[in-house]
Amino acid sequence: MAALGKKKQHTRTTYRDAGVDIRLADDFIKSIGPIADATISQRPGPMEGLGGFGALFDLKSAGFHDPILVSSTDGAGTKLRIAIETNHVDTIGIDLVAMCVNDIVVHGAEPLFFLNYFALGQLDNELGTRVLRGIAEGCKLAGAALVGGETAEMPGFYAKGDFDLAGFTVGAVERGQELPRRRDIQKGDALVGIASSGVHSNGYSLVRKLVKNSGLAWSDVAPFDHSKTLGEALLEPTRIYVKSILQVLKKTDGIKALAHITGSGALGKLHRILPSPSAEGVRACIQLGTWQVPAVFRWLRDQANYTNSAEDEKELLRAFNCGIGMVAVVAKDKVSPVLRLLEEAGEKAFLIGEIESHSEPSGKWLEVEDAVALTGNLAFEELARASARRS
Amino acid sequence: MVGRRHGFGGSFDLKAAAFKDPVLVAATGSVGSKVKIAIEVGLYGGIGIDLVAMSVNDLVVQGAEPLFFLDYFACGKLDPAAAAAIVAGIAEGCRESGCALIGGETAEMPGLYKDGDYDLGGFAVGAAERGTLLPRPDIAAGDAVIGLASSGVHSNGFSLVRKIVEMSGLGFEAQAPFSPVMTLGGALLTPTRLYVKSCLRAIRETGAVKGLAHITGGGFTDNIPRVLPKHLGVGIDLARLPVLPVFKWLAEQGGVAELELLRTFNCGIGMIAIVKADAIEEVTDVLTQGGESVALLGEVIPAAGENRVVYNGHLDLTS
Repeated sequence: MAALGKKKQHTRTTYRDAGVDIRLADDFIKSIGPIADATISQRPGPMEGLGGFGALFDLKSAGFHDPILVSSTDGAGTKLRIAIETNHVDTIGIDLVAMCVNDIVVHGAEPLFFLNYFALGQLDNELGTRVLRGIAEGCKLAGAALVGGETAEMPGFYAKGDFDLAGFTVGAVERGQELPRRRDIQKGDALVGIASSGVHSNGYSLVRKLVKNSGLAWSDVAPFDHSKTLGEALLEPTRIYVKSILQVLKKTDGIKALAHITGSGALGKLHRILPSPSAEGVRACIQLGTWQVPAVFRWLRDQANYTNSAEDEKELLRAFNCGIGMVAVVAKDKVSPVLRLLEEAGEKAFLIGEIESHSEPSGKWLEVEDAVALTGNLAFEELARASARRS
Repeated sequence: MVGRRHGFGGSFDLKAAAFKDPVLVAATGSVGSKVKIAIEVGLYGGIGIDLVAMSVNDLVVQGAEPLFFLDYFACGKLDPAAAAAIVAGIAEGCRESGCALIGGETAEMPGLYKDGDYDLGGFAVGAAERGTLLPRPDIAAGDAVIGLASSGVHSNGFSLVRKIVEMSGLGFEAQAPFSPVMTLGGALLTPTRLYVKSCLRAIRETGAVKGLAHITGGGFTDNIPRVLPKHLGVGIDLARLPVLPVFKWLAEQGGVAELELLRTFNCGIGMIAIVKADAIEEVTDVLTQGGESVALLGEVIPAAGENRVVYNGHLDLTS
């Protein structure tokens, strides 16, 4: 039957010839062990497993009695391209962790552990270690144990130096403590916005396009922040809100819901946590101008030739977080303590709007299945002032 | 990025799943270079099963029952028909292993992936009641080593497979030399076997399964020692191994030496069970009823030196 194929050749083929060196992979796994260990020792729950086929986690020793598990998975997205192109791969792991853990903390869940998927053409120990250190740093910021991961070496699939990353986290929340408490949301509740650290991890296809159009190189000084290159500034890691939010949730029951502002911005995410408009008759009304939009977004807006028209601002809010990475729905009488607790926990928080009756007449433009209304205009930080302050 | 998620995170109620004092077990896996063949051949149905199998087979070897699964699907440009076929395969793999597909992420990244290219990552979480985890601490010399047949190459060693196919001069659409009713691509893409249900049943019904090893990259040589205490090894009688025709062809066509073959491929056995010697028949019966083909391959022996997997005799590589 072998006649169908070429004649057997007198060569020996090994896995290494095919571009995969198991010994190199073993070395890599050994070198990332200590990096992961530091995230495991920071929290109770991870168990010593034999064999290492899967990662073990003890919910009871982590202090849970009747936990609901909450999990999330995400990729690093197009931001990864910039990290690869500029060889600033050290913090992309923080973004990866942030995208996953911020999605579960909005359910009131405490991240327990994290696993990563790391795919690349050919293993490069130095590159791999830098990426993994970023992931471990993100896990530390989130209090999650980096208990495992998969490194896939696929020669010929990814170009040299290219790689892809995906992450996966599991958290837990005691039964009865889960967010959102949709049924509690009512007219008069406040919307509290929590500041983002930058563009976070969404909208990067547009960012790349705008940077290309601007004629600037990644290594040029960022026009909106003279202390950094454009690449560095746009790679500012996504803020991880886990510890601050869990701390605040422990001290107050004033937060009824949280929304992580990611792809499609505030407009796309807020409606997820609201009661359906027809049933409850409420919507989120955001007062633009109640927070200062960081200069990076002003620069991006200018590159996109967006004006301050309602339509253009809506587009900007669709594409980017515009300075708000997380939105909380807060009971009216708890706004002051929630703002104070968030500040104490290290967040910058703003009162950005309220829950209003759906039937309320307004000259406002409505968005996303009538669940979100916007009014006013965005207030941008001055480009020059931002640069002067930072440089 | 294209979201494919309900709410922000997927939730799972352990109590509703009837666990009293569960230990969570998590695993992540990928399909590796097999995905490249699936892309070239344009067959998408089985690759999702592979993805699930790579994770859930890693859970069952810890004695854990898979609870839920999430997938990461990255591509250059979303092809809705291909994506739907892949996700259907993922869902089928989840059903066959009794776990819920509670979430996933679809990423469109034109700069990183070419049009038509895609990659997959999978994450599974399972649970076991405290005290029922595998491997058990009572694995001892004299325990039997039982092999459960694989369905084919599974999801490891595909970089080498691709190289050998290239050397053979055959296209993926050619008749498979080792399985004339199939195309070479179709035969190589046979989905990875899911061992979850049969193994959980054997663990629970016999109480005689002390350890399980999922045979992935590194073959018997690397994967069996992972479940053994340091002072133990295994003796494997290679003549008893039911080598699948695909491996005979790969060995011959690629001129792959026996030890390299054993370090790279499953060679016909995708899961190893370490079983109490007096329960071989009972475990074999339950596994067989569960649809597995089973072979007694050897026994647990005291380890002598570095090589904890001792091979006796030779693989039957004659076709």
